[in-house]
Amino acid sequence: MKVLAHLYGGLVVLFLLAPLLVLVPMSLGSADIAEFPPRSVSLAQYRKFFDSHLWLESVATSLRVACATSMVATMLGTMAAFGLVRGTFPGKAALSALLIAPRFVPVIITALAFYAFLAMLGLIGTEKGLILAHVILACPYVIIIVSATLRGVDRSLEQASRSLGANPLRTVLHITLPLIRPGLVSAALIAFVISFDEIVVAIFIAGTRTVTLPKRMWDSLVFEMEPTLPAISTLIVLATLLVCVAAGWTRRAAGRLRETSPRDEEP
Amino acid sequence: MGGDTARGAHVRLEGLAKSYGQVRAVDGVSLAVGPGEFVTLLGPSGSGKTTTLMILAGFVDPDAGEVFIAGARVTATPAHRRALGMVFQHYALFPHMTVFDNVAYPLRMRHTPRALIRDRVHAALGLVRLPETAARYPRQLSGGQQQRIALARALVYEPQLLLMDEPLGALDRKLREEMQVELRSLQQSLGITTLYVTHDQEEAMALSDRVVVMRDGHIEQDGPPADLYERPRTRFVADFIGASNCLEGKVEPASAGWEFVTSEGLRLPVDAPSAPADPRHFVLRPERIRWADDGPTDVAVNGVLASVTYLGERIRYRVQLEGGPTLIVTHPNLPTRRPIAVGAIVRVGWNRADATTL
Amino acid sequence: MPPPSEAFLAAAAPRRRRSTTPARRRALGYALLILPVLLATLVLFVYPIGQILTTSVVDRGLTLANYRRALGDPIYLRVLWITVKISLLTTLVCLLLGYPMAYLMAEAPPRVRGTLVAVVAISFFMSLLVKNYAWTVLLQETGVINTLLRRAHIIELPLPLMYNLFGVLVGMVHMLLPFVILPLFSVFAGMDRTLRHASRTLGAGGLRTFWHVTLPLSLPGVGAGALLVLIVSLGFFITPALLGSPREMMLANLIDNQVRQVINWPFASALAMLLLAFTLLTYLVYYRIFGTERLWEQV
Repeated sequence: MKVLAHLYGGLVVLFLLAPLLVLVPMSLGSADIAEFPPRSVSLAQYRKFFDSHLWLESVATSLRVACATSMVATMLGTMAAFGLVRGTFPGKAALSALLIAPRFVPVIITALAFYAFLAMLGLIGTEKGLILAHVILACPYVIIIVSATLRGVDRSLEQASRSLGANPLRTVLHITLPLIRPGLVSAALIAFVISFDEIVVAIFIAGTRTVTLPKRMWDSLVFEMEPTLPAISTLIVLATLLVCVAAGWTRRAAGRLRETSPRDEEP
Repeated sequence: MGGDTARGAHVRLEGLAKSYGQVRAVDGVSLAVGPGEFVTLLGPSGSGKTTTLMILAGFVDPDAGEVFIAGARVTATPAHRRALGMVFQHYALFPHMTVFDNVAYPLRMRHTPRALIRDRVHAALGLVRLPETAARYPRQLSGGQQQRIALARALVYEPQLLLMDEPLGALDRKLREEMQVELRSLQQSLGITTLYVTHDQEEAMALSDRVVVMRDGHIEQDGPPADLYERPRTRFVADFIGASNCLEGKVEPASAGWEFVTSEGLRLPVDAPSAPADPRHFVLRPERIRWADDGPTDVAVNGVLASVTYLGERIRYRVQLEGGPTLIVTHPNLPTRRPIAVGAIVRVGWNRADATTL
Repeated sequence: MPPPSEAFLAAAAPRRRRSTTPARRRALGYALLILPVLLATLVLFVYPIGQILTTSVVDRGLTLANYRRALGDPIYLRVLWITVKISLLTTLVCLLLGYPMAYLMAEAPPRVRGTLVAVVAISFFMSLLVKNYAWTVLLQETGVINTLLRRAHIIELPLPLMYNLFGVLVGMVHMLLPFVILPLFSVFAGMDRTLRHASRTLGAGGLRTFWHVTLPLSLPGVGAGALLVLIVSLGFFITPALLGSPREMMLANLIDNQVRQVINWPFASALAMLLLAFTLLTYLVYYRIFGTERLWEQV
């Protein structure tokens, strides 16, 4: 029975990691034709990628959009999280549902809506338009993460701060924000990844000058297969992995910060 | 940190009320606390003691009533301007700050100059006898140490009122008793008015000048510990504070005074009931009951020894009286005690003044 | 200090409160914090979707012609049917594969468990495009799988693994498996072990314990996972485009086609609204059965 379990687990792991297992070796192969297994091992694909002006420009675009999205979404989402977790007013549940909605509506619908709306405003093909769209997509995640972190903050810490003479604003600045910082970082990183990897909206809104990395990759997949795709894929995966590991670290740091379990020894 | 006695503020709560939906957490609570007094709010959970404290601290807005500190009406004043010190059950030390920064926090909020902050923080840490912990983080300290740091933080800016919400609840028994002693002596030397909340009646009696017993949002009885113990005014107080025997029945006049007739028909001589009450309960503390052999008493009844329980420092006996009710008798475990066999016929007695009718 | 006298207590009768308490003002402050996001959502999300709705019903006057066409024309009905079919199949396969995996992971020793969770998380966060690209490489006629099988002489002619239903399913299951594994894993990991122990001491063997105790307790997690997979599948776009043939065109692809190739906005809008309706319907069914709490945990 145990053997069966191990076998099954192994197969599922193999299935889930199949892309990496195929693309990483391929990325070390020739820069002219993508093949598996690669006949010769070299960094030719990577060199070709870093030499390509177009691809690098896409990376720059994606980075710019993702950074901006992350900053704006984290700010707006954190404010909203405070309002939702700490405030009490009628209709809060409905409001929460509304703010989370973009997460749960199929992307194609949102992409269509953005396309029509931004076209009206003349923002198609601009980074600004893309950033606006990505912020809407990322905010729900920020709200969910920061809300969860906020709810985990011990209220008595804030009460203690107020009893010690700090007004509510100073309490938030000196006590609450430092305590939720790991959640904020986590949310910012998630927002970054969401924007960086986003493809459907990018397909609709991209112009000739705002081609994000995923969009250029999509074009390559649909029209003309780039032999350097394995290398590009590997780089994307590595970058995303790095960001997620960082997000995971900060989450664990949050746990350690809140762990004030006293060691009961001497009085 | 001066040793000037009676530095504390006078506190007055008038007609406080607070409801959460249908539940009346606080229902008409009025209380006055004198400068330097140590008053404990005592009661089971749901009695409204913590809510009352929270209203006094400014974290909960009352539906009705007023709060006065040092003569000034503070009901509408936000918590951070009420100039009081508060210690919480789970210490509420800021985990992301060192002990020094924790204790210095209120001074920084008051824009105290840097050099002065250092001196006062070290003085406060010295007061709670933890001077070497300044650079450590709360999670590196034990529970008892954290509690003392929390106390130091609440006292460093010399407030006139100290509030404590079951601060010793998370500590084990031995530690708790040691902290109680320290707390009391500190409070007395500083002369700071203190309002303390707990559900532990032994703790309340050990620490307080006055105990306020609360139940279901209102005050049952308010007085010095001895008053509450010797002269409980309601059955709830009699039950909650210390152990007691409680029999139901009624008081009737008799040839030689008054008698309490239990529901089983047993007649026990009692002191005259205080008018105009119609007492239905007979309350007698277990340690006031003696073996009739040990000396004369006003009242004596026969019974059978039902059980003996050895509790280390005390022995608890259960005596089934002829006529029905069971009385609990506790005697200190003295070497002079005579062992009595279970099932033996015994005669127990007490003085009329030791019993109360409610 | 003597207790308050009766007169004092009588005089201190509760008095009425003013209308703007500090609490009210605080509540207003918090509400204001939500305003920026709310405005952004209303302007950039609700209004544009509303625009789509109006586009779908306004075509020289108010009309339901687009909807009639979408639901009447067999070509489009087929697309709707394929979408539902693929989504349901994907959900089923994901549950069948993911449930045992989540259980295994929860039961595994700590270090193995950590590794497995990391693997699932990596798969979860990997870029959609990268994953689809990898499957094209694996599944095409001259792809990795076919080449390996032919070199090993297991098959003569290449297997049609791509540009068909199989290819799309493989791709979609791969994308969505973590969506099932992660919530189920947290359900299993959080399940009170003592319940299972109790069941066994009461005489139920492994299988019966599973059937009567573990399975029922895991159903909310199953529901949450299934809901998520179903909803995402319904709106899937990239995978059917890359791994499927025109026969596997799903609703999202049709919408894309109508917008960027045919440029029939009213019809595309109607299709989008239908997809939205499907999605809302699925949520409603979920709420009826499971309630709303779980959704907040899906990050």
